Amino acid sequence: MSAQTLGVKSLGSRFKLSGGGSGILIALIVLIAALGLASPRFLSLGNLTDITRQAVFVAIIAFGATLVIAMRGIDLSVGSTLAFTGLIAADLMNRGFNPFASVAASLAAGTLIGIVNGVLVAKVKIADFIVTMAMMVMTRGLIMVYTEGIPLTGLSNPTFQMFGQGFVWLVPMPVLITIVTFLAIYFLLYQTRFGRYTLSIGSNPEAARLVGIRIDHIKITVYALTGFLAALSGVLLTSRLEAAMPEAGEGYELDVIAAVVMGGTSLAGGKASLLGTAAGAILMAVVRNGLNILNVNTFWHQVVIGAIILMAVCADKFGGRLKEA
Amino acid sequence: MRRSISLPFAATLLAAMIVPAVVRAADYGAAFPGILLDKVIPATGKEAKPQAKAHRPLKVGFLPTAMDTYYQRVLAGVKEEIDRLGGPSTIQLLVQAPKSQSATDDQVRTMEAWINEHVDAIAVALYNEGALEPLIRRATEAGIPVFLFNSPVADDPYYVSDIGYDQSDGGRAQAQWIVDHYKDKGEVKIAILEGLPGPHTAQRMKGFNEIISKYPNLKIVAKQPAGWVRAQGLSVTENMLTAHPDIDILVALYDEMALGGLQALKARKLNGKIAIVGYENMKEANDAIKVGDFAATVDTGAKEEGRNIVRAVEQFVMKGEGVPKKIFVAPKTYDASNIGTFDPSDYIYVAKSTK
Repeated sequence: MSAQTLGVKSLGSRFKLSGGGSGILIALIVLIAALGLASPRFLSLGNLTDITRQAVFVAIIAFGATLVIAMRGIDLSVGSTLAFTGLIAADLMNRGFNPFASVAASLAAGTLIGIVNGVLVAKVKIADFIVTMAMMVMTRGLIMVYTEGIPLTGLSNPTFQMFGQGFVWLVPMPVLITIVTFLAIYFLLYQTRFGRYTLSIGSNPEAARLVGIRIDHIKITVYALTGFLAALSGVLLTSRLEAAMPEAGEGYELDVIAAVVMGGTSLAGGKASLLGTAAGAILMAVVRNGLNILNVNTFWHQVVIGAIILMAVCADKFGGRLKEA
Repeated sequence: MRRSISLPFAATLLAAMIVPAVVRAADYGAAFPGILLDKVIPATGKEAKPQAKAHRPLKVGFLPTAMDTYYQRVLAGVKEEIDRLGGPSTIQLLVQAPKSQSATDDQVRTMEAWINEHVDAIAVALYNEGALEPLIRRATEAGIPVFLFNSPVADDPYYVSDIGYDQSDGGRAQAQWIVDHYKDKGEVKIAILEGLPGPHTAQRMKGFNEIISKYPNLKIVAKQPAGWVRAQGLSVTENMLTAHPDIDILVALYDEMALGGLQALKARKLNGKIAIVGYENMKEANDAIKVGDFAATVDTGAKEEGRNIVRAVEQFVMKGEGVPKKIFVAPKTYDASNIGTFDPSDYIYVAKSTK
């Protein structure tokens, strides 16, 4: 085994990649090196700032989705929730409400959507795919009814602009918020009973029930958290664009799942790699950015992302086998 | 023998085609102010026939490819023109929009419902060439005239009239503004935000390139799709600026993408320094020109398009007269020099009573 793989492995164990996620880290490092060679401007501080700032909208939601997927769930409603909650923040601001109150209402609405998802999944026992798909089309429909397809603009309040456009020293505010979110969820997932329960529901729901874990409570909490994070992402995007776009977040549900799966979290549940998810979200932004910089047809993005998903998952499988042997 | 018969016959036929065409051309100008007569093409003979229907209200279906800022403006024109004719008691407007851009299957369902309901006319925007052709044929066979609007490629033989503007004229107008302001300024670097690949992007770029390619100092250094939407306009502009920090002009094939690009320039304090040339004259783009953030945008006459739809219905279905196969108007470029002349009421529906 080469020194590099060992290095990644030790890094992996330190960040609890738990078998998954090493593939994505290698892919990300190789890609960044290759793009750095292809274009000298790629590795500039300005460009790296742009990439992280472009990655945060998917990344924040994907942190929540990591928990959802780790407990064998799925949430397709996140893109619509993002647009819906962004719209709520913008609408309240335009009606003269304080920016913090508007953001709080937006986050509350996202959480509420998550709770509804969670209750329908955990208590009413409807399949998560169906619940969240229904929520996805319903909220998008409500957005179109309310806006008639016209974006809400005029969000010139400097306090509100700070969320998506501000800087703290050299770090963009949305990136800082994302890092804080990452650390909070990292702690929640790996250091608390709630995190362990989430993983154990994913690895063996029957056993989890038998040892007395309140599965429904955990599920509702995880969906609520994901709804909250989708709203947070919606607030950041709305603030960044100074507009709430009716079509915002379309296709995000798949980008989010792609980031999580690339990162080594298994759709079969029980295994979560939050660091891998972050790497997955960054990788998708890196690919888009690189193709733009090299002036390559950006529809290669979809081809590349699909290939990387397969490669990353294969690499994890292969790595896992080696460990078992 | 054969020639001696066919020649006079052809001459008569030609005369029969040309003479009424000239006569009609003058009428067209009266019925459709600003119509570009050189864009009119001959009818195929497969269209529905004009008929003066007596019953009121006439049911007219209005089916855009999506509901957004642009189509809301078209709709405002439609409603105002209906008001002029007597309001809902004259024309009952049925509006349906598919749930997302390019959801042609949604449009199919709506068309089928309207055909079964025997509406009096259908106005539909096509997303793609060949789109909905079977439905347009079915409607025509059922005696329902179909009018197209804002359709980049109208290539089926059945529609009565194609209403809007030539998309390549929009691209030409953008390019012409650049030529007028930059042709003597040495090497000028241009970056372009395209829409999704398809006829809208292709037509607009075709017109743009036609003009720009004549001026070797105007160089297109980057060209990337940004999906027609603001969020992608922002990120793609950021990425293009990394590769080409020295661009002079940012062209976007739709104002939404241009507004995203403006956010990227603002973050770098480059707004007003890199000239943004947009497309559509959305309200926000109009405001941006007033404060110097946008250099120019192209108004494609959305509200006039809506008025022309109803005028065509009036001619064809109420008066029973023929209409031109193309009812196109010229796009108009706005920049700081003439933005003050734009009438903001062009953005909204103005009810007749308050007019």
